[in-house]
Amino acid sequence: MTSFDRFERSLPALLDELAAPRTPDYFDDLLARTAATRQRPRWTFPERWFPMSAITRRFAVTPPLPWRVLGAVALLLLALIVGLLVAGRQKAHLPPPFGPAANGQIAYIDSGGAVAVGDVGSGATHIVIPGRGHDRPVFSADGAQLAFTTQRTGGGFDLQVALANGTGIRTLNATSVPQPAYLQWSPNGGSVAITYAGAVQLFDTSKTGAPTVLSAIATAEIGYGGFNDHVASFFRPPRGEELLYVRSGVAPTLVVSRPDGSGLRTLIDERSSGLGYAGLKGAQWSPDGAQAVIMISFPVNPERWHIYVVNAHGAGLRPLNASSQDPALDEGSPAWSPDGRHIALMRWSTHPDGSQDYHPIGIVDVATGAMADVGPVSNNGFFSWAWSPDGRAILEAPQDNSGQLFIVDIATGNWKLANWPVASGVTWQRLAP
Amino acid sequence: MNQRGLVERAREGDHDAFAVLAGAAVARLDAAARLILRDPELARDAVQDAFMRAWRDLPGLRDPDRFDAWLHRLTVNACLDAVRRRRRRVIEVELTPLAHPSVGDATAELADRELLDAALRRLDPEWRAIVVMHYYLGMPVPDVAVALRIPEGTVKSRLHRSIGAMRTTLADADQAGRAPLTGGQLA
Repeated sequence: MTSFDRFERSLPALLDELAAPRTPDYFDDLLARTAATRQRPRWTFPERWFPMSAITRRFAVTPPLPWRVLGAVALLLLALIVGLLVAGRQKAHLPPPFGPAANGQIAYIDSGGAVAVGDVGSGATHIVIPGRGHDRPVFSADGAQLAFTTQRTGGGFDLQVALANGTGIRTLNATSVPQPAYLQWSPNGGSVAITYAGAVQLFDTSKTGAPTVLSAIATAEIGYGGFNDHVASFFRPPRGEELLYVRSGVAPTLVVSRPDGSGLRTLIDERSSGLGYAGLKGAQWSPDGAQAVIMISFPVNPERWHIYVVNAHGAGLRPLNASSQDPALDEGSPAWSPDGRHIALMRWSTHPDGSQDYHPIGIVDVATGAMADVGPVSNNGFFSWAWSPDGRAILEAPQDNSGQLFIVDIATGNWKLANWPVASGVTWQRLAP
Repeated sequence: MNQRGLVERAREGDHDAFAVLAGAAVARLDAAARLILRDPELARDAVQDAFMRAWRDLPGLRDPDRFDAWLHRLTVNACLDAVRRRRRRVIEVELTPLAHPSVGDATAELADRELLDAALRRLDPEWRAIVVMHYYLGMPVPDVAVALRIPEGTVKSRLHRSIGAMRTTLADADQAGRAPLTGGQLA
């Protein structure tokens, strides 16, 4: 045993002796303060919807059995053939990856754990991928494919893709993956990005295998942290060659780089912003790639977030609207409208006595900062929402276990109700205009 | 009642259950915060902030069995937030420069603590946090990585380099005439 090993083994005891743990004299005061504080409602926590025990689990290292490989290869070949045939038929009818498009189906996980789609016009739904344990359905930018996760019996998850009609299911991972904190398609549909513990991994959608780990951006924070964050694309439109992410650390910064880490440039840092912020998260490009929206918190209350907008090269950092500077307001999960002119966001107010006001989804004009509330108020808020691809409606899923969806007309404020058994976030398929 | 039951009750708003959980954890977390921050006032603020967050956000804890790891993460992140705020205010509290304790000035035990204290102070706060999380709070490397949102490999390399740096500090003191830590750790 080396002296290094001996020191390492004795370190816990040495630290214990140095720290001399004791119940601190402020403990009673601390309990008095917590007793006077109200707990947050459950719906506001992404952890309620994404199992942290799975997220914090190690990668499984069980070697695949040969029959599984053979089966996967056979499925892959079949899927490729089907995919080529379908893609050949549909290629001329696919929408561009960004901007307004026509409305397609809405994908969600039903109460039994299957992937289902629904049609807003007729209200009809049907299961496209049966079975249990599916989660996180996300349409590709061209609306032709779905990505989703499936829980394995022995633990861990599979990352799978299928055509939008549920055929041609392919598993992208060779060994099980943890439940991703973030899942997003690349603009061209060639890869699916997931994040786990700050690591970004790109899975090639044309094969089963090991992912490309973007080690150059190993400390990236992408999305909001699991809550409705599939709308937060970090691929810069139109080709996705530049990635937008928060580089974590003692002083977080908003940066842009290529996937290999080259071309790194800073959009927001402490010094240049002059904001003295405490945290950054939830960055996403505007549909034209000219701006980015970002959630910022401040030292006075680092748990409350405020929405800011910045130009793609780092200039013009500004609050989205006047209420974005209100310290009593907590804003979250911003989503760009398909034309990039508006941002939808969730917000709630906290009064000095700890009570909260719930708000409908707010729509902010990015150019003027004017805000308008749309849709109903849910006492438990909304756990997912999404713009329609044509930008004329917003889909809202209230967190009340009703399984209902509201489809809200932006222009009139009217809404209609779809009584679907929704048990997940929702995404809206984009079709060619 | 076991800890899982207490967490479930506290998650439903039972403050008495939370008080039991907090009472069982606060001494060790206060000590961990003091180790990370090396400033008892900052440590008090960080621990209070962590427990306030824990109470407020407890309904969002999905797995009651992860309560300890979750509370550790809240505390360490509150410590790092405190470091961040301190830097932002440009009132950097400089870490005490390493001073080799002279032989005979104090008991060997006291000198040992001072040496280890000096070795810890030389580490960057985030690295110090990793050392405390792993060696004092007993958090496995994957849990440390998740808590700090950095890759496991980074945690391992920082642990290795931190231990190396601490050991070098202690060895330097030893060469300057100070006896090694009791137990022959530097032999």
